[in-house]
Amino acid sequence: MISNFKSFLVMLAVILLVTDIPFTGGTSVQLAGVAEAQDPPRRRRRGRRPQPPPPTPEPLAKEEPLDEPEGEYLAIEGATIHTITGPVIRGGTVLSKDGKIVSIGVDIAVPDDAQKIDASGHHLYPGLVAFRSNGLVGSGEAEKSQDPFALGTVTGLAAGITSTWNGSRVSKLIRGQVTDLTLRRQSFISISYRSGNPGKKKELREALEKVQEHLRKMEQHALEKQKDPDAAAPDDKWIRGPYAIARSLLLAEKVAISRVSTIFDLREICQLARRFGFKMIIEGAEEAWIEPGLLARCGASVVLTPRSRRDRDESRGAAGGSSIENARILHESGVPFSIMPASKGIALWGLAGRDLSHLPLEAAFAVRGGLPEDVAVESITIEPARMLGVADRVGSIEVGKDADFIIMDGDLLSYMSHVRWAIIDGKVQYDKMEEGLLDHIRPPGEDDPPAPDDHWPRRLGDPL
Amino acid sequence: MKRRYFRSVIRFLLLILLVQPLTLMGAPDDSQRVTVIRAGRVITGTGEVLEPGEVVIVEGKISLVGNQLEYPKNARLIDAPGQTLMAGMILARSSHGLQSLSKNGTNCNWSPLRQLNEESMPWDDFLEAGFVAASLVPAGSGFPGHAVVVKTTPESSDRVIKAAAYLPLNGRSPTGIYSSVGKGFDAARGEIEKVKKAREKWDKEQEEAKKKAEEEAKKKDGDGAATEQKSDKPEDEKPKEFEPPQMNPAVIELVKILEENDDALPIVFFAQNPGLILHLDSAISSVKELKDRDPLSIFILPGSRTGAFHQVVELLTERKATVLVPPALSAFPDTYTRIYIPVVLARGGCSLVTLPAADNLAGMRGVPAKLAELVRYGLSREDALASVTLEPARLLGLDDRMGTVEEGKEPHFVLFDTDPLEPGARVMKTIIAGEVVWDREDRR
Amino acid sequence: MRTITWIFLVIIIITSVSESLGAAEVHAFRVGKIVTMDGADRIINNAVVIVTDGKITALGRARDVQIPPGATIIEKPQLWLVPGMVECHNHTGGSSSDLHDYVYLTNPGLRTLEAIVPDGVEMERARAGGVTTVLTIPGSGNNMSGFGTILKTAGTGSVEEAVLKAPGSLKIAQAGNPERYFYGVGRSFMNFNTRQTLRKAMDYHKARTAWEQGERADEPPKDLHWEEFRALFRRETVASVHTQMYQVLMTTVKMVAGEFGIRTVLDHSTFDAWKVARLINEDQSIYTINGPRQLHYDRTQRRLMGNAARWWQGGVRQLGINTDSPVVPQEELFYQAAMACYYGWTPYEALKGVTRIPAEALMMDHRLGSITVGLDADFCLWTGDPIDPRSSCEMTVIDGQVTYDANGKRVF
Repeated sequence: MISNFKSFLVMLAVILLVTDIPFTGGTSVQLAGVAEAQDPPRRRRRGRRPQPPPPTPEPLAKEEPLDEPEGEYLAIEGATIHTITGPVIRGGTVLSKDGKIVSIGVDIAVPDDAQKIDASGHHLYPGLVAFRSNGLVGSGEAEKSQDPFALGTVTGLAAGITSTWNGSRVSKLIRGQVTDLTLRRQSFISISYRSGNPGKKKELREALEKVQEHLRKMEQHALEKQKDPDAAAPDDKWIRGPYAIARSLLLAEKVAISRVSTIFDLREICQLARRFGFKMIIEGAEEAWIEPGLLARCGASVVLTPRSRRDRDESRGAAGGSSIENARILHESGVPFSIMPASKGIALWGLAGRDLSHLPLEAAFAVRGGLPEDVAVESITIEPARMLGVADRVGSIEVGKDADFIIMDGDLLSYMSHVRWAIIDGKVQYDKMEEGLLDHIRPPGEDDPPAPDDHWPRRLGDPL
Repeated sequence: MKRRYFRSVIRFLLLILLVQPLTLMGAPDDSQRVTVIRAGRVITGTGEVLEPGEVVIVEGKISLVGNQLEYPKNARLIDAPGQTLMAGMILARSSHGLQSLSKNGTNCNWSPLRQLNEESMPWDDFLEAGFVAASLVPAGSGFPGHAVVVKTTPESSDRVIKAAAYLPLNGRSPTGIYSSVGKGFDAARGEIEKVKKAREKWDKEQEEAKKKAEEEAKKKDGDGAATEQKSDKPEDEKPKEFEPPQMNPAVIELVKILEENDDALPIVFFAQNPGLILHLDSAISSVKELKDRDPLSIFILPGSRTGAFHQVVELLTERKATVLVPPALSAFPDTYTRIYIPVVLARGGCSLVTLPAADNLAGMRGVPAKLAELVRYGLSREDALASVTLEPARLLGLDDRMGTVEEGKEPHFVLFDTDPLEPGARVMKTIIAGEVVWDREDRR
Repeated sequence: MRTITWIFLVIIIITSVSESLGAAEVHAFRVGKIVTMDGADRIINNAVVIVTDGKITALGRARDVQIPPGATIIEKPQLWLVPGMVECHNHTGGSSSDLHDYVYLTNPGLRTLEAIVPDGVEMERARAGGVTTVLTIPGSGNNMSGFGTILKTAGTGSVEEAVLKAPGSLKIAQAGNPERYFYGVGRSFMNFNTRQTLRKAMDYHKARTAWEQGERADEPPKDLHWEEFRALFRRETVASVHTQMYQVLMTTVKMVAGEFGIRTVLDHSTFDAWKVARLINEDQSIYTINGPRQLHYDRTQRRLMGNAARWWQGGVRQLGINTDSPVVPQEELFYQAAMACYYGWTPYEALKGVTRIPAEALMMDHRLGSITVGLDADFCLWTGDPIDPRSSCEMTVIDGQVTYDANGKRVF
């Protein structure tokens, strides 16, 4: 009875306090929690990076005139379509012809002879793009090295990856054939500019300076030549090795790539990039969250591993170490990034969850640090495609792009979702129930599926 | 060495003992000699099984196969009651006993006979396992040489049955295949061009010479009689034959393939893994002359227990390929879904040629047992036995000479103590050209 | 109006002060959902948990539970309250090095208690990952590497405060790692050696027990090699056995659990060990704590098998998950459960497998592992399903004290 009365008093006091009295301390009633709990814990959407304008809405729900009936059509019907660069369409259809998307929408005409996939209840995403990988496609020119029956390709498809960069080319994870695998040649210039190797640092800086000087002379020469056609061109025979690299950076022919972790090294390399005005991709960037404006100012892109663990350097008093919030902070500062797990391959020896088999879950860890979910999905689809120069072909679902999709049995970022179908160039490359690799895990249509009976010791009467 | 000598002495004595009764019966005439083999059972390989059966050999050919045949009294008789006779087995690919040597690149003219040392060649290994002929191949990547079919008789004056049977092509990696095929055929094309250019040059020269001669003739036309005398002169000289320049002998075989010669050898590709078959197709179709031809269709598959060759079963059966495959090859071993690749290929219509699980005595000895295993998993008995007799003969282009027990074919046989597909079946005698060249009785 | 307010306030202050004089410290956590993980598998929405002096004293729906006057109310209506996770197989013990002495092939008598660091960055990360208790055991480089320690991750300064139970378990490593100890050590010898060691310990225990019960006159000399084993044979503590493939599992069940009657926790239990699930089911005191390998590629079937799911399908219900930290970072214990779910297990069971099941396995379920009245107030507040990598642990409470708050500094 007394306690009831007391709680009544407390309630009353709370009401009065909230409405009236400015009150600080002196009581056991803590109110901070109330105010704080108003903030939803995730989904902080402040200052989103300016996005490219969404694609023209006309293709959506627009009937494509089917004046060319011949061709291989594939229609995926009934799925929730995550176009990435456009809106999410529920219960929509994506129609592709000869490997290219021809229409997307809710009520679009589908030719009778089209191959149809009923994906109702499923989520359709563009095929994932792994920024870098080992063992998913052949090395170098995939057409001349790919094992068309490699398990790595199958497991990559099972993880939802349809395109990847193997170090020299962007290739698709196409099986059973050794032609038309490469999307484009792509190579970056690997540079090292970190405090651990001052010699190399000096070499690169000096090369850039020298070549910049040379380029200025070349400009002058071009002007002179207008007056005097016989003016001698500056000597450029010495531009070899590191100088050639420096020239291709300065002329923006190539993009630099560098693995940089500490804020100290990040500052140095960003300064260099701003001074000489070259484009670069930073892999790692674990301490970028400390000063995110750095990367934004020099226009660098980043390849992040949200979960990477880096201890703070105790010898430097300032902030340091990795942060799960890195992705969110970079996103809020407008730094484009793609997400990669710690391991660049797919390991079947058991330590699950740390390799490309679970690329979407690595992106889910960025959501844990506050990154919006749609940005997390972009960071494994369109963003790596842009960084690899293949965004005109893959990375989103748009009319005219390649028909590379994954059809998931749930939300892409959920730990329970599996790829049901992976489609490349309008052809089914992976079907979970046909493949046999993961078919025993939550097969569709069965609430309580029978387990493969391979437990033993077997007993008499057990079915074989 | 001593032992070998001792053996041959014993063999000689035995031969005398064997021949002794014949010499008593009638004067032996080597050219007319008739040999009769009487066996408890004869598997002809043409679908017939004779029980008991007799094979009559006249003048080095099988003249009659049947039952209770009539033959001259002075015929030499090889009696093997209770034993099963079938056509001698043929090994379609072996390097057993050859001096090891790896030839990389394009060396189509390399003959493995150059690696063969008669002194140290373990012919008995082949004979003990029942193989009467072997196609020897050199080792190495690319086109290491050509296959040579030899008799496995220990002492033979006519060892070689076929000097060139096929061109083995080996490559462990896709890049290796592209480079081998590309380089090889580029070189061959170069040779063709070389000859063509020489020919053109020669033609041009001839034409010029002719023109010159004509011009001279015209000039001298006015001279009348004098020209006629001179014009006779060239007619005396025979028109010069075009002598093509020497081609690089290492690529001549590839030139024949490009030019679609009748005697061009087939390429036999060793597919270390199934994906390589696709790369080979791609590599071959990048050779412009071969682009529109049928894809290659003779493959050697590896002997591993695993290997995802079930992935290419459809591809192989579609083109009715000939596959040389060790019987152990399977997919998903140790499971209920195990796929026996040789079985599915044979059922799909491929020509199946069985290779030993390993290229040594143990591997060769194990062939009948492995075949029996395949029969258990669905291969027909006939296909199993043909895969070591008729099919390899066909592959090597020798099916008109060996591979079955038929009239007109050469008398090469193997005799087992029981049915060859019975567990524990052992080779009792191996007969080449009507002569017992290996006999288990001798080994006791 | 103002005067009335002041009067009320004065009354409140008087009443609360009068009650709090010498009274207990009371916290009330008002949350969106409690996943209790108790025997009845209750999930309570809009709930309140009352914590008094570090113990849970009441819980239920908000409208059913009286918040005692003077309680500190922590209001988190959008968060889930989930029992603190219990790690059954940890090697860091607060520092980032493996606590392992490679002296002999069997090292009875060694204890990690002597080497643990009760606070440090590893402990902080564990809290940020929702892990409140760890069993720190020595490694598997030899067959018997000593006794582990169960400690809380609160990050308190002293070892005595942090330690919950010592010895917490005996670490035995069957095959699959101790082979590296010396050339020639194989399964036959390792089994002989382990058995021999256990046999000696058993003899010692019997001799001491006989003397204690007056069945023998002379006191057997105390021996530090064997002293800690006595709790093990009395089934007051458990053996954490490093196992891998099914053959190793079978010998463990036969020798450790069968011959010596030791309560056994099968750690790792990976590769194709799940094939012998039926054998494990025959002894209900055996716990299977799977991990860190959640995946097994069965080459013969060409299938990717989830180890935990396959154990479950084989009928094993006392099934948990571990990280083998630092093999998998301690804070990713929940993620190992997520992996188990990706490969076929169910989320609720997986969550149980990192909370109540390991607590039971370590015989600590009277203190840990669920939100039950009377248990230690070890729990975490999550933004959602704790197994989902997208959810984050916003607050960790150990013994009623907030030991991690993501609002101050988010660690993970």
